[in-house]
Amino acid sequence: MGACCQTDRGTGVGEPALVLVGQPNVGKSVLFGALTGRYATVSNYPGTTVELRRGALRAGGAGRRRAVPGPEAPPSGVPRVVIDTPGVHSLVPRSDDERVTRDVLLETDAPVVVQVADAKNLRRALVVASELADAGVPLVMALNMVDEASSRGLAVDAAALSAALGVPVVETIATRGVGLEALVARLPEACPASAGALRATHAPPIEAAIGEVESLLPEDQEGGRLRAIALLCGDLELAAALGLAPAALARVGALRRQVEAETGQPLGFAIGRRRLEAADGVVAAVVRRGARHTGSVVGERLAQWSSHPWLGWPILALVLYLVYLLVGVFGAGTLVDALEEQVFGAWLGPWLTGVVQTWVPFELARDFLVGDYGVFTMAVPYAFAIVLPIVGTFFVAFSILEDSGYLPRLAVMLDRAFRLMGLNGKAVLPMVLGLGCDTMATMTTRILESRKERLQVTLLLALGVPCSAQLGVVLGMIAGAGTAGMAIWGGVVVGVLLAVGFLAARVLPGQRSDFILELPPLRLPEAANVLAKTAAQVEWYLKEVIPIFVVGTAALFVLDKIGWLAGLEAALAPLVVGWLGLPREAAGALLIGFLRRDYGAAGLFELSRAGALEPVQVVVSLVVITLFMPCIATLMMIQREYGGKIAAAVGGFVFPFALLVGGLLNAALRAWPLAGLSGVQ
Amino acid sequence: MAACPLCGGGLVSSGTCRGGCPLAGTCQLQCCPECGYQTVDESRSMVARLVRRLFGGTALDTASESGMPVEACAPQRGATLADLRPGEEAEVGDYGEMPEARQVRLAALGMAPGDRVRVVQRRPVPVIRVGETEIALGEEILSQVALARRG
Repeated sequence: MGACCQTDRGTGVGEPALVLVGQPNVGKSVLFGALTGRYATVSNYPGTTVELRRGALRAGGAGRRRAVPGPEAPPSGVPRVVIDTPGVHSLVPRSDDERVTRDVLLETDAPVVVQVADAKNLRRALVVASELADAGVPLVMALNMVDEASSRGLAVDAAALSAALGVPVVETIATRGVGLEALVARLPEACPASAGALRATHAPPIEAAIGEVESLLPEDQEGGRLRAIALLCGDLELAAALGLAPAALARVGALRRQVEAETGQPLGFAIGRRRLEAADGVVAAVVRRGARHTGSVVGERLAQWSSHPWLGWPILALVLYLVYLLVGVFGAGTLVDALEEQVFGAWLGPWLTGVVQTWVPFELARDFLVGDYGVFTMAVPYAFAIVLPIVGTFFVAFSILEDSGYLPRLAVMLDRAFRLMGLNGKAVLPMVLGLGCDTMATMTTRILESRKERLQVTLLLALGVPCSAQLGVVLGMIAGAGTAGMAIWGGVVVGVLLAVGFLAARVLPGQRSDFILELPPLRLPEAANVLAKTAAQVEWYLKEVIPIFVVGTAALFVLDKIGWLAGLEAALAPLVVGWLGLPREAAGALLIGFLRRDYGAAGLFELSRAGALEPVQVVVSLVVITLFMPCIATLMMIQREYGGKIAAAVGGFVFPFALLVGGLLNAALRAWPLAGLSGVQ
Repeated sequence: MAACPLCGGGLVSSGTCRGGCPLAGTCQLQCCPECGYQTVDESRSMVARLVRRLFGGTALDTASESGMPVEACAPQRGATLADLRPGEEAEVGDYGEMPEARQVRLAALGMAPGDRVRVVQRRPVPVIRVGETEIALGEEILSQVALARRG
């Protein structure tokens, strides 16, 4: 991804654009949403944006709840395209996502950069601002989250800051739409910060080296100073993209060694440190400290408790219990009952059947629509009556968790367990994200630094992290197997994850990367953001899932009509009935489980609600379906990220392994029956 | 890390003693790269750590106290972030031979030599506070951050 830019062919990105740049978790995505009206994933944890998102600057460009001033509102001379970039700690990139951002900056024709700065961490923002000054791009600074800064007793003098940097500075609270109009209005004043206090001057040998490397660069390049610094710091991909001659490259390497010998420090570090010093000077001039507000103190205390060595566990249990109440009890219980039995069972179903019986002349078409494996009798109720309420409530719960900032603290609590698997707490984030959607999470594994860790987490996601839809169905079904059943299911799945992770850590080559994770403050989630996020996720889910449900149903329908379904069930009987100890009809659910785990789980849910499964069978079937591949989309994502070989290997491991574990569990549960599992249905 | 008591040069672990001793893996001696003088590496002694914990003393950073340049060495004998208890504050000293990527990453999070940090917690994972930023750090990173001044 990094070397996508062919600078010698002119521009990679093309048209002028407004580029949002900033550290992770400072509110770029919120701002992007407000400026374009498009939804970007917004969360309170670092690393949400791993790809570029672009949108058109909306008229007025301001908050959702404001009257839009009219189509001509964006001032003239301001680019109409807005690009949201992955968060960067530095524009001298250390990871793929940082490289993406740097490339966009240097490749876009005439970019206007909006640096989103966290007002309470101004010092760090100024380090990036200093790099932007070296890039020579026109800049406006959005001083975001001024509310959080002031609740911590920090007052930033925006006017003084603007004077010091030589660029417009606008105070914003992006989540509430505060200051966005002013921001858009000041975009035409954007100018390079090169003249300001942040143009860090380095030690003479370093400056000399930068100057010499700059003279080696192709002439017509903007941001020569930043490029020169990146090259000196050993950014080989940039050297390749610039098409630097081997001789020039050798000279750069020699300069670097020479400077490091003279200064006695790694060059990248020396430059970063000088930037910090320049930032310190500005911070001292523009930030005043007062007393913290009580609200912020309470929040901080809570934040500390949530990652406390032992208080953290009851808090984690409480969080899980609340999620269970919302998703398992309310979503999978109350809502599913209401929708499935009332809306679909009593009203919509009979009505649709009546309509189809009356108006559709062909029996085959009637069967396809409302037969045993009909679109309206299977696909639609599965999608809307079983999966939607469960997924919807889960998305609400998950959005609240994301926005609250609890997830990084969860990473702290679970670091130990992940170390057993040769990973560290950072891998918790994609795994937890997998509870929302495994496909999305597979993409998020990019935040992990080594390929070994990425592959390992991808495998674990594919194997045993149930996505929201499936988790909901599981939570709903497990009630039938009682607490013992839930404990067995959880124990087996977690045990399998740990065991496979442990083994994979030893089999896959590579190293564990550093655990360095910023912990954002706990925040009260904004209702509007939670709802918008939930809505966007539900919409995406339905778009992605309904076609698969319909295709899966159609496949079952065809198999049934040509008489193969019974044959398949008979053929699978040794496996399903003999090995797994499930009723024959479960074969259908397992078959469609190949398409999506939750689709298969919904089939099992139906069977269990009809009383066709004993508690032992519920547990076994759930374990099997949980360990299946999440869905076809995940497999395709793995193929996209790692290539066909790895995808085939993961698939070839996951399905047989799931059946193996299920069969062993079945044998174990039948050999040693548990009192708690034989009871209530 | 401390200066060599004989010549004032840096001390390194037994693994780099001259001649590549076959017992290097378990040996508690460290050698001065300048003169080859051997001393016992306190950080590898459980008893020494226990005594320090009991009596609250800290390993002396003789080099920085005597104004000598702090050389890069691992394992280090001077006080590091790993020696601080929750609630304690300190000024970050040299990063020594920490891998450059790690140094740059810490600096980008606002934690560079000379900055004041406070240890928020040690378990389950160490959490450090710099300014308004809280950072969770692996234990192995903590022990690579020397302290310039404690308290």
